[in-house]
Amino acid sequence: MSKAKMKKNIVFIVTFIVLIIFMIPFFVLVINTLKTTQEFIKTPFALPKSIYLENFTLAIRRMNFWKALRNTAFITVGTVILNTLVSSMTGYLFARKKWKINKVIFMAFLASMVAPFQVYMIPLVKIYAGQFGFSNSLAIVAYIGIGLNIPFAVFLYNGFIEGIPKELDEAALIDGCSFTGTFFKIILPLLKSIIITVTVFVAMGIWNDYLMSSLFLTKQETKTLAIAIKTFLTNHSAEYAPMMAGLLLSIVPVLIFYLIGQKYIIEGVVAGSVKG
Amino acid sequence: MKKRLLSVLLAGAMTMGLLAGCGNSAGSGSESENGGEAQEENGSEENGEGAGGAVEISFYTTETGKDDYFQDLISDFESKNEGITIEYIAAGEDQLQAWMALYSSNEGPTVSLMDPINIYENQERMLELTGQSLLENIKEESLSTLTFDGKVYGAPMSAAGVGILYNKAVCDAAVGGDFDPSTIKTRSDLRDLLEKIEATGVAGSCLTGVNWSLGSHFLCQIYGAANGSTEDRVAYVNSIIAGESKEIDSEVFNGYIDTLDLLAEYNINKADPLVGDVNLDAAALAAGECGTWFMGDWAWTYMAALVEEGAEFGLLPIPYSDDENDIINQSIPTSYAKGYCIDKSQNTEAQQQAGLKFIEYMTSDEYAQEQTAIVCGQALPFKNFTASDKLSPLGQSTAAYMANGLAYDFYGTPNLCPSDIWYECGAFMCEYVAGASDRETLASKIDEYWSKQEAR
Amino acid sequence: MNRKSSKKIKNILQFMGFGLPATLIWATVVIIPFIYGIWITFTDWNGLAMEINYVGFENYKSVFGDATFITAFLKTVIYAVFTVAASNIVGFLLALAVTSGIKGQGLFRGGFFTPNIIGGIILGYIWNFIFSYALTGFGKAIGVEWMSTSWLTHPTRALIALIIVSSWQMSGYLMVIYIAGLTNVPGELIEAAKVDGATGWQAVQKVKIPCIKNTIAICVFLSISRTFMSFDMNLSLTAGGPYKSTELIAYKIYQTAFTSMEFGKGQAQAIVLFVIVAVISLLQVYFTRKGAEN
Repeated sequence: MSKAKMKKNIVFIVTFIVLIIFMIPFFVLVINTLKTTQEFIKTPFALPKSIYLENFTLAIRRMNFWKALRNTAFITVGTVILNTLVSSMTGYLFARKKWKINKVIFMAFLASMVAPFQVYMIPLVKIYAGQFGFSNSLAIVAYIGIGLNIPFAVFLYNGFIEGIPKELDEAALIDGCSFTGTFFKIILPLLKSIIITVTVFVAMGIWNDYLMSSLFLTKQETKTLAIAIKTFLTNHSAEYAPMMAGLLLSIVPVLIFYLIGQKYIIEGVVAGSVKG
Repeated sequence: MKKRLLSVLLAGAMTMGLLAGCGNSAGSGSESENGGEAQEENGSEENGEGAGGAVEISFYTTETGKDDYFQDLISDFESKNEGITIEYIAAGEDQLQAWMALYSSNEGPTVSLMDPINIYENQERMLELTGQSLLENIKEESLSTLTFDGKVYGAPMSAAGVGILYNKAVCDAAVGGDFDPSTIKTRSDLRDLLEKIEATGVAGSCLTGVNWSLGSHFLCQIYGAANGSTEDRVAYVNSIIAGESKEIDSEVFNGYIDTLDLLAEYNINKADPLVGDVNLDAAALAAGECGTWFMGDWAWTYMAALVEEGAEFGLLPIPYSDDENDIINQSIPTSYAKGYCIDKSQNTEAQQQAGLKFIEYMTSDEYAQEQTAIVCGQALPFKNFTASDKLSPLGQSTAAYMANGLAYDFYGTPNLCPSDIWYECGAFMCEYVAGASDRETLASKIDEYWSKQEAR
Repeated sequence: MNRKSSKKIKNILQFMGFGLPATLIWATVVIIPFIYGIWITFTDWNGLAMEINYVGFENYKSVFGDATFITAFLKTVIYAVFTVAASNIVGFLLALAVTSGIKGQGLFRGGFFTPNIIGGIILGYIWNFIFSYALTGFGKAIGVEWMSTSWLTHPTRALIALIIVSSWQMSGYLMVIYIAGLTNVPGELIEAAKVDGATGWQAVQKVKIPCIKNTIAICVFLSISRTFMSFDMNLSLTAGGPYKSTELIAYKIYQTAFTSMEFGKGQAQAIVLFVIVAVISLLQVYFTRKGAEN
């Protein structure tokens, strides 16, 4: 076996071991969705004695699962699409035009990323729900989600676009492409892997968001998955088994979305369609 | 090609926006005339009156894990009260913060089930219930923590008993016969029992090393009836606040900490006392791995699925001295931990009246009482309550103490202990039980905590 | 003059088209409520009271007089230093491994990302069990004293546990960003280095790392800000325990505002923390970007 191949095998084995260690909590989560809560408390690491599917049916009923799923999907899709649109464009502007105002706003974006949400969460509710009456509105939650994720998305888009050589822009300009045209024809295709990455993060953040959404979505029919799962909390404890079943059902869509995205990135690298 | 993609995205976004507008059925974009951060008037937004006298109200609960129960009672109430619909707002993770968010949204719930201290601190928003007919069905002594300056602001949900839970089978084996809980009148009696239990190879006691158990339930006894009447208790607390007296000099303080030391000595979790898992401790008591457990009668919810048919459990009082004539040593503190209150700051008159009907239903309706007894398992302080047999074994034990006059109100006043005492002083108690600090340090840290509070 | 003003108009239009929408949305969602929140710190509002009174700088004075605030902040600094270092190193190495052409990339990428999507009290309970029972069982079996009791009931070990779990969660998060950065490294550069006789590791050092300087800057910024503001993990794993010894600053501030109902004081603490962390993070970004530009 050549040295290179042996090296690759070693990397594979080490990475695999690290993977197993990394995924232990996930395995614990999955196997315990098939046990009753009592069995889970007694033997959380053992394999289930028998397959107990009632946790899933209970989770679906108690969480009003399909409704919550629809609500969550609505908010997430809305947030992600609009956020990607406005943030990528702003990232492009900030990366290519080093105007003072751009720098100022960019620094303000960064500073706001460390702003503790607790400082402005009650004012947020007071303004949008108290003043404008938007409580229990999925659209307003999506709007706020867009706003909260703009700094993060712009930060990443800006960073990656700065890594794209300016020569490409200049070449496009010579070919008669406008600033806008360059964005859509040259830059966007090169951003594929970063768009997918940012999209997954924003989607995951909104999908799992509890604090901000719960401020607005108080009625039973507007709840998202992250809020609905709290039905399993009890006094000083929780109904762990159905809660984990509900959690598993809630994260499966995000996981699938992430895997598809990563597959796309990998294929992109292999095909060489990502910047060479 | 990219431009086409862009237009598709924009079209999609616009459609989403349109759908959002007409998609949400109840409650989106309701008009609210209320501006104002400072003062709020009685608003009628979507929680307003419909045509023909139909009233919509909302009910917010801080009792977690009981969604099915509340929703069942709500639909039963609605069927018995034409024209009133109740929006159910479930408890989430942070109960107080959710309440804050509701008020900031101008959606203060019509009826809220809260801790008495929260009702006390926000009484300016609450409807006074003194003189309402629904109070006539409620036992007077249970209203003390919900009465401020002689005015009643809430109705209690249940009476929780705090004490030393015991597994009768284990105690029977320990004493070699039929264990009689009323024989435990002093700390020495308790020590005797715990030693006998240990002799049978079972741990004598169990402490759940968490801040809410040690810092709220155990610690607050020190400010309880052992000091005397409500006035005496307030006087004692105020003297600590003013720095005139110190905990370490108090007989009551030392008495209870001596008992804590006793329980810690035979604690099944002695090797690592702060692991603190109620489920495991409940399982230990249910399985007879320990003979007693300092907790409250709500623990039945953790135990119910684990106990064997016919097994008996009950509550023992927590003695703080060796005086067998001190009635406190034979009584258990009852806590009226949750109360129903009515908001008048963001709800109309009609809504408040409907809320009163709901509270009356919850406290006097037979079906409601029955369900509360079964689900909460705790004694109910309502005069027309007859279904004691539906209570959990622990709840029945509490009810028996109450019936025999051997129960005393934990606090006596709504704001005796600040709302964060379980968090701040609970930490000191945990440190003490873990052996990381001594009694003097514990006492002085508690003194320091009180010195920062306002006089009660 | 016409060319100048037409260029200016062009610039304004470009700004309005590309930059204004995001800025406006962000301003309405973050800036305006934040300013409102700052205004509240100058009042005595407790979150629920019907009346609000102006109290000036009183809330801020109490922040600096509070020794526990400083202790919690220092603890957070220690926690942040270790977590940022560990999660960036591990995240980078994982990304490197996963993009090195080994088999089963999809499986690895998926698996390393799973810690991120489980959250909340379930994650806390599972890890709690691992530290309280699994590791202790293992410790008892091999007879090691300090492993036989729960990590979470001893202050130092609890902080270490918090660092371990946070790094575990964040390295998967950073790995994804590092992957995006690494897949953008031009293939020819690596080929050229190999042709020049560089070994695999040298290729990493001389080619890959310099090319992803931007990515590193991004990841360091994100990890610093997230560790300083760490709340969820703190709550679900230790809840500040044992006896408040692992109360990191964000958790402590939240408790002050919402549990102790010292709303104004808690918010003032949050603002002070914000200013400190903002200065640190902005300086970090400024210097790393300067370095990248050279």
